[in-house]
Amino acid sequence: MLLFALNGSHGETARHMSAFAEGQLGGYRGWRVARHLARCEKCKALYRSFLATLASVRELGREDPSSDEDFVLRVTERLRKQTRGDSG
Amino acid sequence: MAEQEARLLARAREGDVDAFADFVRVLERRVRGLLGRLLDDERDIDEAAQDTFLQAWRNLDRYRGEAAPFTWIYRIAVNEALQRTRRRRVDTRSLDAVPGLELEVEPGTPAPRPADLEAESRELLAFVAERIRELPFDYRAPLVLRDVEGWTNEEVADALEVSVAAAKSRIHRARMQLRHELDVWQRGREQGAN
Repeated sequence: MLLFALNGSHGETARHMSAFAEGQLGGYRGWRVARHLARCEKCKALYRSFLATLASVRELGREDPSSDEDFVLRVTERLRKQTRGDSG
Repeated sequence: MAEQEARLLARAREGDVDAFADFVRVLERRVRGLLGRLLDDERDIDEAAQDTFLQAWRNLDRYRGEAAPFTWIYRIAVNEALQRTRRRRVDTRSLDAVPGLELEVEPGTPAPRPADLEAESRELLAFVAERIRELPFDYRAPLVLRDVEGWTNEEVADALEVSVAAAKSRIHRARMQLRHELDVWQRGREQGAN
């Protein structure tokens, strides 16, 4: 019981991985997750692969489509129709 | 840029359609890009983007300038994607039902291998992008907004009309799901190479 209180568990560590990775897990829980990660090779590996996944997602970046003047025309056409409808 | 957008909005509020067209021109790529990451169907994306700007036009008088015009239009776009998804009752299965998302590390489970960021290929990123598209919308949207668009947890929660705790939980579960799939994929590749 005391060991669990000090070292945490695999489940607790996995549940709080996002918060821990983003530095949002402070206090006793943060300390316990850090301590568990330092001692558990499996969770350490899980955490590494979690960070790598996060890096991959962030690396995707925001690749936006090329500009489309037709799109602007489609919107303004609908908008003008709507405006005419409202006033007529 | 934000000042230019705000000026265009101010003119649009007076009924200047040409100013609003310029506003659309400035932001359409980013709005279509976001909706492309949130929705699947190309036609749906285009319609949602159009409807986003039409919603903005109808609600110009509600724009008070507290947020940047881009943030304002982005929120309308997220809401548009959300409404469409709800209407269509698109896959809303819980990630609880997805096999392989056990958060406990079972004894005897081989340790996942960390991805070597240096060696990450376009193939890996294409795989990640594809798997994000396959996530249920309730998980995909918070993940995209947080990790691709760089929003805060609070902004994600606000845009998706959920609590901050729920937003954090969904983001986390989506990340864990992706981690699992990426791990399986990498193991498959390594086995194929041996």
